[in-house]
Amino acid sequence: MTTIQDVIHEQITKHPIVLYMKGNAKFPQCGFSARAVQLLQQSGAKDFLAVDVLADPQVRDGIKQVSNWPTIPQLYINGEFIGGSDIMGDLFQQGELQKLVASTQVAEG
Amino acid sequence: MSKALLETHIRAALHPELLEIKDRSKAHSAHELSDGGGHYEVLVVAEQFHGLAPLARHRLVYAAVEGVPDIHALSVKAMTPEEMRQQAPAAPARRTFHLATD
Repeated sequence: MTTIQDVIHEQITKHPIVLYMKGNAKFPQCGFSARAVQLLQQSGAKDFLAVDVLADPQVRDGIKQVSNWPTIPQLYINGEFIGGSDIMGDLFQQGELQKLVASTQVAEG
Repeated sequence: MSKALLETHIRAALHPELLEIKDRSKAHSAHELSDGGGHYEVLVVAEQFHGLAPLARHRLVYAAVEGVPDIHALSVKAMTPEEMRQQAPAAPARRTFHLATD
């Protein structure tokens, strides 16, 4: 049986950048999710998987358990949990988010 | 009142040198998905964050406030007292790396 944990694990291993958010990249449904999308785009991310947790309550609960993190949005890069929008903002200011994003694009060739 | 509870929980758990809690609920009251819970911004300056990565710092704050009711969103800034002093506006940008000592 495929569990929600399996689904999430597959998403974060198959896609170099995954953002669990409310709404989608074009129409975020929450200010924090909107900021996360904006930070990713400003960091040079051309392509990322945006998973709308509002579309599936199982994902919404599941991702909180998998990451052991209580809030949405949540960013994964190269299968690793990076953090929510506050941490993304800090990493962006330090230039680290840009480096993380760049690392995924080099890996894809 | 969630704000007072937030303050009590964070003070008890992290003994912050500085704690600021801003209630941003009003700015978000028209929020489409608002469930009536509050939006709070917290700045926590605590020695306990020393040597910890941002993720670990946020986890400490989340753990401290777990169980406080009526929180819809929580924005966290977590710094050590040393980092706060270095953040003085006139100070030159300088990067300090701390090694986690477990």
